[in-house]
Amino acid sequence: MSFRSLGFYIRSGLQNILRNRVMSLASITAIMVALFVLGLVLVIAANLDVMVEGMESKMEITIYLRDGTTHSQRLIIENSIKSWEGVYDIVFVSKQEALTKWKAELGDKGRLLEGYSGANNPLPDSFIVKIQKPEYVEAIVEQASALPAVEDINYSSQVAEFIGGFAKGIRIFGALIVTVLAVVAVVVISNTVRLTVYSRRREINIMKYIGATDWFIRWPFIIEGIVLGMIGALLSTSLVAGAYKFLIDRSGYINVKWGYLGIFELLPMNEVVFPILTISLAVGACVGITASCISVGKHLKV
Amino acid sequence: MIEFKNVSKMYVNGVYALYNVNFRINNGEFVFIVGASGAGKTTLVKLLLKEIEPTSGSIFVDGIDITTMKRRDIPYYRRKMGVVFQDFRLLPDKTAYENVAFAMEIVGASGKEIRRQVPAALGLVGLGSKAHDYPHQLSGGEQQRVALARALVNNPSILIADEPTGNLDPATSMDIMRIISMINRRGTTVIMATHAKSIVNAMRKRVIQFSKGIMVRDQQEGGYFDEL
Repeated sequence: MSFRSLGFYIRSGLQNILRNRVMSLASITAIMVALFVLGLVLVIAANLDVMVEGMESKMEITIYLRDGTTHSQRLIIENSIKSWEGVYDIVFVSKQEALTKWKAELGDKGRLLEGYSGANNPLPDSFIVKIQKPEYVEAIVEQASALPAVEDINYSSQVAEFIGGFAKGIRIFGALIVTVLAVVAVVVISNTVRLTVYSRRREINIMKYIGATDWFIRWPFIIEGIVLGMIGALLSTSLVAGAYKFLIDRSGYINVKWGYLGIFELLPMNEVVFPILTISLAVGACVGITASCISVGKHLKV
Repeated sequence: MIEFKNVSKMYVNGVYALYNVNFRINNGEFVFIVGASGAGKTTLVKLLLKEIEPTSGSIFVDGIDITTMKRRDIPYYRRKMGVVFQDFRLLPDKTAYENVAFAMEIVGASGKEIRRQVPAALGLVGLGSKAHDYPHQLSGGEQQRVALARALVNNPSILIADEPTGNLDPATSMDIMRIISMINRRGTTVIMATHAKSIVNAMRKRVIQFSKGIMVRDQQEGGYFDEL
């Protein structure tokens, strides 16, 4: 394809859009609606994903050490735990620290613990191990119980299982919805473009008679598909952005009314809109191209 | 040169549209293909345009058997020919100028060539002043002139006309025939399918006549006889 003909293809592609305004508008609307729904689902999925990630990162287990564990034993244990898969943080809490923390938690009643300081401190030294994902908990607990000097391990297996299952469920569900919608978008858009091509089959026929090559006929339609897809993508992204802005404003209101809940924290506007814009443009353009190629191909056999 | 060798075309219902047709047309000739409706004129035009394939036989155009031609070579073959139809077949959303320019854009002509050739072609068919009208703003005769301008703008060696005056009144038909004769005098082979008796009788050119798919007459400077 020469540079000169590229200019011609772009020019006639744009001309086609302007001269078939009704069909162009129909295509843009179809693309816009499909991408809008897709965009909304992606936004919700992204937010749920971040929420689940946040819940997962709060997974931790506490490992209590026997009394009389020496400093060097402690360091060996700490280093080996650090090297395990799934561990992303480990904090040592000495028995003094534990007592202080407990006292602080009791507040006014903190003086009840006064007799337990120093050698009378009943609390053990411990490690708080933060774990990346719930799946790792089981293995880490098992490995930890095999270590010398470990007195006891505290973790909630049910919470770990619940969060893990919940996260998995949400991701599968989100992927399913996104896939279904993507397919629906492709079908809707190809049908509309097919209709525009069908309404111009006579034109294609004439082109064939005067010696146009298949690609000469195809290119303007492809460019038309790209442009229509991208216009639809821009419009749908604006709609998604508007809807999301509304949601953010409402969630601010909810947080004020019912107190701050981490769960209601939405992703910031720009972190959502730009990925959606990129995805929408790419999907819109690809679908436009595919739909044009499929639809023109049928009419080329003259 | 165009040559049909034992060409037959049978449609799926088993009826022969053309049966064992043989003829030869030399460069620069003017040939009428005549016959009643259903005689096989349109099938012959479609075979020449390689829109359909013969059931048997060979068709040579400039020494090449077009029945064995590869699909990707068809567009280049068609560029050798100008085609006009009874229903004009102009692109409705392009002006007269753009319709003619389009035929040049297809062959990859430069903008400069297009700006020089298109007005010349429109001038030749006597339509210079209506270059920027759309087809629906033009009369039938004017639309056929645009189609002729489009057919001749790339200087084809063959002009194929399928009932070019079928939708036109007698006076307009004669105008169109004058233009086609002029194109022929410039050296282009003209093959015109028609059943307009008055035109064929007035022009005194070679006539190939079909009846029910069989070639019944090939006569130099013939007239059109109804009764065959």
